[in-house]
Amino acid sequence: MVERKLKRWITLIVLLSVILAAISLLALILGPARIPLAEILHPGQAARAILFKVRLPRIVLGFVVGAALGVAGVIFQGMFRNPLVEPYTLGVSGGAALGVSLSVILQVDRVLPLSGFLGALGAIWLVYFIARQRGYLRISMLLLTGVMISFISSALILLLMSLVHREQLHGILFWIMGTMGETNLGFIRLASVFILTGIVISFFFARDLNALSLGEEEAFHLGLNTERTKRILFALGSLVAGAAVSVSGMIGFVGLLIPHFVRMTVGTDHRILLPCSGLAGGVFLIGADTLARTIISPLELPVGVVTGIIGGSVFIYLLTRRSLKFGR
Amino acid sequence: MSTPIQDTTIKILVLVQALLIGCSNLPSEGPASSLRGVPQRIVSLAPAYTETLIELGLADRIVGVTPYSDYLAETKNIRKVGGYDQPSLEKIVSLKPDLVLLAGYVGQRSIGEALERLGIPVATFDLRARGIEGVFEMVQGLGELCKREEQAREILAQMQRTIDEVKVWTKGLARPRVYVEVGYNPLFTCAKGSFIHELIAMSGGQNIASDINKPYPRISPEFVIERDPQVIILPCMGRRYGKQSLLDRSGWQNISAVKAGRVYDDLGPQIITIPSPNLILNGLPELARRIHGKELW
Amino acid sequence: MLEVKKVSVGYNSTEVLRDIDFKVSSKDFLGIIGPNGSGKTTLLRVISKVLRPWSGEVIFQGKNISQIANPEIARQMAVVGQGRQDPIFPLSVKEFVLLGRTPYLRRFQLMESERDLKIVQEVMGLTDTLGLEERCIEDLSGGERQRVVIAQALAQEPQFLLLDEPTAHLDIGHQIEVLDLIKRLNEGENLTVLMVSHDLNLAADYCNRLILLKQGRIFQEGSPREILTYQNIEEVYETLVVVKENPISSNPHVFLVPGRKKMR
Repeated sequence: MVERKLKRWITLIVLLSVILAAISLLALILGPARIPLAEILHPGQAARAILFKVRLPRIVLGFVVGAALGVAGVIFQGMFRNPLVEPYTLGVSGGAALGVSLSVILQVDRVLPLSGFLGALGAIWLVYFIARQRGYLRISMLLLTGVMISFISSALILLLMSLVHREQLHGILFWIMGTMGETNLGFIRLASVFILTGIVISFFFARDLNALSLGEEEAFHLGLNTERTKRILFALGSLVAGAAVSVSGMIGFVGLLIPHFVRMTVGTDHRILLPCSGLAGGVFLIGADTLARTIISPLELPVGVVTGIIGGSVFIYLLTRRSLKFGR
Repeated sequence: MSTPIQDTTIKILVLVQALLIGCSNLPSEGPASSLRGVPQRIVSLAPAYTETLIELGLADRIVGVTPYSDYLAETKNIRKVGGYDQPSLEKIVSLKPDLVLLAGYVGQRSIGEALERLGIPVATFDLRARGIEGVFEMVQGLGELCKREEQAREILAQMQRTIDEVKVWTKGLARPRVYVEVGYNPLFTCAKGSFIHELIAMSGGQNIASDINKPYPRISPEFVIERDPQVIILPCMGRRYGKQSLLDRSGWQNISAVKAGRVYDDLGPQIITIPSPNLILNGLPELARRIHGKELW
Repeated sequence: MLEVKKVSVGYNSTEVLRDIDFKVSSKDFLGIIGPNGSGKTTLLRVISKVLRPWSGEVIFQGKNISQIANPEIARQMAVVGQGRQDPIFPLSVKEFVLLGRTPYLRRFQLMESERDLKIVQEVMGLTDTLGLEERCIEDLSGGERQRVVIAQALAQEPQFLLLDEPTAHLDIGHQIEVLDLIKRLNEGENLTVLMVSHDLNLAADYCNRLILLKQGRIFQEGSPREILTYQNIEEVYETLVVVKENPISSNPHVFLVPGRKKMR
């Protein structure tokens, strides 16, 4: 009985991993620089640089950011028991964008990801601080505060954008639209380690999320240390999302749609939902990014546009086909 | 579901795209129709005009500039008429100008219309997509407008001399592949229609993006690696982004220019990015020096 | 089993319960009754550790509950709420009941054990919900839903079951169904039960002891016969009633008197 469920789960994960490998391979082969198949097998120097130093890091980044958004989306939707929540709702992206904008203006833009991350941390801390009352972390307050911080950040960023040099404006906008084009390997490595660690830790809270989905008090009665769990989940989700946002800008919809999509296919048990959302998020983002950089080559679409259009349309289609039930 | 900033961003994106793609169709308007006599109070909404006016000896007639002209010593005491891309109609009008020079960007078009309705003469020159010829046209046009035809001719002659000298000097030299990084977040370079692109050709170099038909196309890192430039130029545009960041980019270490250490970020401020006489007089020789790696004369 | 010692507690700065003191013995079926706002649910929450008492203590099986870890409590004590909300993401009945095993699963244990599944089978058998295994929680009727929730609580293998108005949204047939089940568990499986109820007659028929709350204090404590007198009810509920013996069960039965003005 247990066997069957476990077997099913393992099959799903293997399947998704295969899809991931396939799409990564595709992303490696396709690109603005036309590299014929023959050369891919025996690449010359320029080809090797392109394949392994430009495209591969991008694929890794796509996987890591996609996984981060997928998993963070699951965590927050589970924690808030709200299907409309996405990793950015809590003000994480607003803070990161503000941090990035400020550093572009102050012309210290060599370390954009760091300033983005600091901005994200600032926002997270602020939201947490405001939502805490007498030692209890109130879920409703978290959500409201996060949304408010997002709005305020947006306004501040628009203010900054109206004041700056055309080129700085460009830099800010470009970051806001989301990109997998980060070229500094150090940042990619740092973000990957951070995100993957966070994701793995979250797997150990899968059962807690299952219990939380019944309601906070109900979860408490099932033996969960809800205060501690809420804090940990909030921290995990925010930090993972913050790391993703700081290195790739704001890529919307992934964190909202992937959890729903995966839930429709594999069910609501977080033990399978978390890993599958991570893998699916990676697949989706790598795919979206590949499309974004090949469809009107050599111009590049902002990847957030692709995720929004494709993700949104597919989702609407699925919604009209069947209601949001667990899929079996 | 999308954040407010994504909504507004789409709107701004449209605007900026228009800014970048838009004005190639804008015809050069020559002399302002309503101009009478010699202008004494000129507002310049592009640094190219400011520089040219200074060259023409008219620095004291400039009463208003945009912050983009900040790098010029002469503009220190001149009133700024607004933010970078938002000239303030009120400010301009309050300066009582008798000539306003517009840069032709979409954002400035409405200001132009409003000024004309108020009876203030305006003039626009296309500085974006008419290459070096556009610069010549602008210098001549300004000379005519301000009744400084003599000085304008002098400047134009100087410019032509410089071009010819460089041509002579670079004759017979190899034509290295050149990449000029106009923007880095995302990557932008110059190509057909851009005066920088033509400058490269005049300096005896070969722009790696010469087959692209837009003046300022966005490119990918792959493109640069594939085309393997032998010389890389980072025009200084008032920012502290130096060549170290470029050298750190993943995959760029194998580019010929990087391997040979021929990445230059030491061009004087704005000398190849503003389409003014200085572009030719100063920018052209400096660019040529770096492209060929040696002194001209 | 449980001792509530001089507990006072409230929300923000409003006191809701004052000086609550009583004991629950093993195999009791204790009913907490009282008007709206008398603090019944609050009492339940203090006992289940959701609320921390302002003063006094709650002793469960000899230890102060604030000293017992949550999972440990959940292995002994199960709480059945009113079943108001649907889980936001649909769950099958089987998965739902299986969640009752949460306090027994260890941090690094991925899957439930065979024993866990066996217990789920057992409790679903006890609650007569085996046929609903694969159904979605949202699709169940009120009575089915409540039985499933009880099954989940039983999956915790508790010694002590707390119920908050378990029959609140049920029709009369289902009310009896659910309470009969609980009574069976109380008598057959040695399950100690504490039930908060607003239905005085059901409380009378099923509980062996009652505590009547009035405005946050214990008004009186004792057997249904002792508590459910018209004097007590009228004083606490401020409404006219008539109390007679229930011809079927011989327990007291409260009759409401419609159309008369509120007393005092």
